[in-house]
Amino acid sequence: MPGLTEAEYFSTVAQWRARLKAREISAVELAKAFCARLEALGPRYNALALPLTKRALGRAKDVDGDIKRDRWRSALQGIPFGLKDLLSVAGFPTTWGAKPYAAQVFKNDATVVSKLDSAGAVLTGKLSMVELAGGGGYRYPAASLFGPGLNPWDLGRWSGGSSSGSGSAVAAGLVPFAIGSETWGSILTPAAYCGITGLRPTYGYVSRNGAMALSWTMDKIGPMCRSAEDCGLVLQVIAGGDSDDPGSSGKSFYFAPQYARKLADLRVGYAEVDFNGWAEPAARPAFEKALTMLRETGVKLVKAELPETPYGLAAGAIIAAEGSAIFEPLIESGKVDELADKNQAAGLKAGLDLSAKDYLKAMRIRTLVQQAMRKIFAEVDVLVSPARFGPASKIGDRLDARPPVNPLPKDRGMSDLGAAGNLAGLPALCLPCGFAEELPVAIQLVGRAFSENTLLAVGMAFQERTDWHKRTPPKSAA
Amino acid sequence: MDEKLTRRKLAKAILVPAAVAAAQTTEGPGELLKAAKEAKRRNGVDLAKFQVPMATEPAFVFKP
Repeated sequence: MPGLTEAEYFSTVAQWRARLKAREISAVELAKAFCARLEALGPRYNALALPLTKRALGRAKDVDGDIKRDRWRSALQGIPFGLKDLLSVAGFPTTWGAKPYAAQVFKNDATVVSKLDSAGAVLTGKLSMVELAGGGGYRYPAASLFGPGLNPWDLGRWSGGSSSGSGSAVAAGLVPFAIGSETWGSILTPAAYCGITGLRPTYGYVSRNGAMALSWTMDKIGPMCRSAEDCGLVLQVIAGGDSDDPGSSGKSFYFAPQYARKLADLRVGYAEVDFNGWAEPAARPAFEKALTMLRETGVKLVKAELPETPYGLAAGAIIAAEGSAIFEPLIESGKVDELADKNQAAGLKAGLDLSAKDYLKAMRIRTLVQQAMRKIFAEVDVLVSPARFGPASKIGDRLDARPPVNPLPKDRGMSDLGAAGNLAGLPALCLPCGFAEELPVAIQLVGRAFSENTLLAVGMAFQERTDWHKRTPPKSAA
Repeated sequence: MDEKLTRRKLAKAILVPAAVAAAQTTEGPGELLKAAKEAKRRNGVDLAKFQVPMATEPAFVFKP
């Protein structure tokens, strides 16, 4: 690798920013180093969909010109990044991780790409993903045009989905940050499994223009980084109103965690059973320690629970109905059978038969979920629970046949927080909090709509007191 | 991270689990479709059991 030490590849955006400003390294040198590393090591994790080295070096040269003239555009200027292959880059293939779309090329950049380009960030490559973001329901990690996402902590484990390549690339130091997307778990799961920090923004904060649609009412685009601070820096650039996205909230985001409420004034809700009942036994010590560390930040931990509601059923019905409608041409053409995971093809076909009654029922339940979450957030400022109940699953394991614990606890606690948060369009921050079976585990913080600064303030305070987010995969595992 | 990745290691990491995964999918496309339709039907029955007040409108024009 030209120029950088192994440890340097794990620097944060803020650290690279400082070095670029001090003229210790140029944007071209940085881009060259990260492009070489991504091309060399990306295939090891099945993380690389498409290298964009030539494009990156051209952009980096422009950035160096700006820096020479002291034109500072953003905190991301000159910083390399990777992009989930769900987002379009003009003139280059955008496969959506699926064989039927392997040759698809769009004329326009996704809004997120344009914003990052304007900010001077340097796109080094497109990153792999689960085919069609897994909307049909996939059974195996191998459900991707690029093969199963391999976890840098253990190649026999999954990197999580559907933003698989984004998770492994950040964890392995192939990019300083990456862009992922979440409909239901696709940022938080790979972030948790790969030991990185991921932010699912409030629905509508980040434009979906130029992104593959899986669910018009649930898709979100967000950053996957090395720290909560980096997530804030990236979100400030990619968030903002966009008339090309009908779901856009029209709001901008200014990263200002220092102006969030004092931590001592914050009430953080949790359910004990999530940490000592739903969590896999091997992960419980890490989760319980995380609660202790969270308490040490000064926030007040209080008991909370979600009302009994079929969150998963509602989320599943909405994604199935909207996803199958979106991919109807693929299904009707028969090309859906080219998908790697046959269960996913079957799920998409079956989704076309979903009745209007069921979809509307799910959307009415969603209204109740939104009301219930508003009521909960009248009492607390943040909710915390394990991001996933255990570490990454094995590559060959069936994903739909793994009970978190056996027997399941009678008390549901907030085990449905993932589905509830996505149904209500709420932001979530995934923070690494330790290890189980020598693999990363993580907690999630969920907040009110547009309360990202509060989540990031708590996340930054947590990361000031812990070093889980700074850990890097052991050489022997990679 | 600098350790050399041999073809054997790569094959072990990718091909074996993928083959295992393929072998585990014993159902044909017809059976999978039937199972997927049945699962969606069952989900519909379960959704119907959940009582929603008559005045509750669907979350259209979704804004969080």
